[in-house]
Amino acid sequence: MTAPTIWIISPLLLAISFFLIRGRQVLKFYLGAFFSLFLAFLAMVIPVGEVMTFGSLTVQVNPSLGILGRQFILDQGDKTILALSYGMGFFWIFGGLVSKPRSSFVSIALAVLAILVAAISVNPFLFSALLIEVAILISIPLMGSPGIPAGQGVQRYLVFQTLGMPFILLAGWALGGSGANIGDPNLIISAAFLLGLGFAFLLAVFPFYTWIPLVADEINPYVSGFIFAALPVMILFILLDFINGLAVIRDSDLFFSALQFCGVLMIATGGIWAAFQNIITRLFGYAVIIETGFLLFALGMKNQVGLEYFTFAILPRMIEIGLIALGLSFVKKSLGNLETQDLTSLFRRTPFSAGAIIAAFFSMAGIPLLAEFSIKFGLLRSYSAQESGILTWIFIGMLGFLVAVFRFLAVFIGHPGNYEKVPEPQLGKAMILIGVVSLLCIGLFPRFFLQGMVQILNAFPMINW
Amino acid sequence: MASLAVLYLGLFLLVINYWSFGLSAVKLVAGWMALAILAASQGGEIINRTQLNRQGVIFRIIAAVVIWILVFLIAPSVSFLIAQPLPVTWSGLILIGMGLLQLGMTTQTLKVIIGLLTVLAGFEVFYATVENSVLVAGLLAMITIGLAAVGAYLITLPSLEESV
Repeated sequence: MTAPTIWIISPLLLAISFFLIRGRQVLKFYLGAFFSLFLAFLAMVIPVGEVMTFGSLTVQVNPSLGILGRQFILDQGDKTILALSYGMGFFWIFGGLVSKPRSSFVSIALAVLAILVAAISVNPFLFSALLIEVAILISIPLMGSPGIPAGQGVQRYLVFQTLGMPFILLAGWALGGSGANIGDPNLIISAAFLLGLGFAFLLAVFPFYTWIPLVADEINPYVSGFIFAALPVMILFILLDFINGLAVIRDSDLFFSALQFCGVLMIATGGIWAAFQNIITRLFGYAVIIETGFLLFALGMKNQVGLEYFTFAILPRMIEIGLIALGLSFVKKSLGNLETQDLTSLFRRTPFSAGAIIAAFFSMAGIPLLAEFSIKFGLLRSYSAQESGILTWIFIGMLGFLVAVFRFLAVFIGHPGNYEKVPEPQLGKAMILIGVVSLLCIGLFPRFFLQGMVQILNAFPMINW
Repeated sequence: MASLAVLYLGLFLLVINYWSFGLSAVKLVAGWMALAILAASQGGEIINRTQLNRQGVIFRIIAAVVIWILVFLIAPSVSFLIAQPLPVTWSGLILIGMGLLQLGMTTQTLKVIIGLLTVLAGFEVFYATVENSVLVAGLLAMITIGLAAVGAYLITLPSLEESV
């Protein structure tokens, strides 16, 4: 038994079987969700590489599996990432029972997560770009609605994500596989540029992020939420894997300054564009851009505080995106569309969904008592000790985002009229309640709830600034 | 479509200098399979050609010429940097440049997919000279066919009916 068989091949096989078997939709959602939860649980309890004894039976889970001359390695250091990935899978697939995306959601979500885990585990890590592209291609059918032509956002998503792959492969070859003089500054600069450009495409860094608000606007909010929650975080893990594996990048101040600059650019431009949004789904897209910007900014600090923020912010981000996606999909199902005029007095009609959306947006904006307040405050306070000029742009971005959130809050509260309350599904209400309470609890006791997330860094032992 | 078929034949003839016949044939077969998938998605209908006015045609020709000039200017330094023969660099860069030009000038799904396939073909010219892993060849073939399948799905999406 090998770890990649458990965490890559078994979910892939389940995804393929779900895809081939027609009908039994609810059963598929339950099976997919609890299988993901089971994989997350296994990630926490199985000591990979060590012999386990159950009475007379001894079992050892080997960390590596060879396929066509390449190794897929999942060791003890990866267990937090595995638990997080499949925990996320559980949430999104289970939530599908109430938000009811397309029937293929379970199989595609499982396959995408399994392939992204494969991308993290492949050795040499340069080939992860190919696996990310496979995951992206698999995710496209989720985004289309039969009978409706695919929008610009889906096309741009496909184009930008596909263009990222060649740059990363070429950069990987230039840095690690070329056999050329690694001390050659021209080669290093070119390779770092290619790598940066590749990740800029994959992480939707300015100006390649135009697909995010478009996709958020065009497709089912629950599906866009899944894409926004899963892809950037997993790609950031792969970026960390590159930093971990390439000393040239790890020691380069220029690379990290570029990361930080990109992060600030995403926060500032995302926030400014967000301030002018009248469509809530697009605001969702810009919120995701700002969040990714903060993660890049934190990584670019190239110190322990930045790394800590990076790991701490991942769980709240997932909860926030989940809450917004759930809330928006309920509202869309109940009211038919998400135009601003239809959201009037939403707190009276669908109080749980409206509360989920606003709480999650507030948390993303760093409002006190909610999950991201202490994390963002700590990060910015730490950075202000080094340099304060760049903080002005972050402040402008956050202010723009807050203006947009408050405008939608006014819409949600305003115009008490003759609106009837729309029933919300009980399971959905329970999930929203758990999500909002989690944001509050994390906000009140951040270290207690998030300290375990630092173990994500165990997968990247060379990153120890 | 026919030009893309020729492109994959050219790619095969270039790659065969670096890879074994069998592995090079993967590129040709994958490329032609991708074409077959895209062609099947057209359902026998005549491809809707956007009527270009004279200025549009001239603009496209000038843009293509500019890209060719740019490629011939930068190819020697790129060739030196990646330590590959000049013809390989020319072919790769021209395909990437023309693919990007195509991507920048259209929003039609079929043309976007053809543009992406052209860019990828250009990249594969470079990459085949430096990497001969079976896994990489397989994954790149899978991506070529996958792109065509995704393109076919997006093209036929308006005529699909919800199954569940």
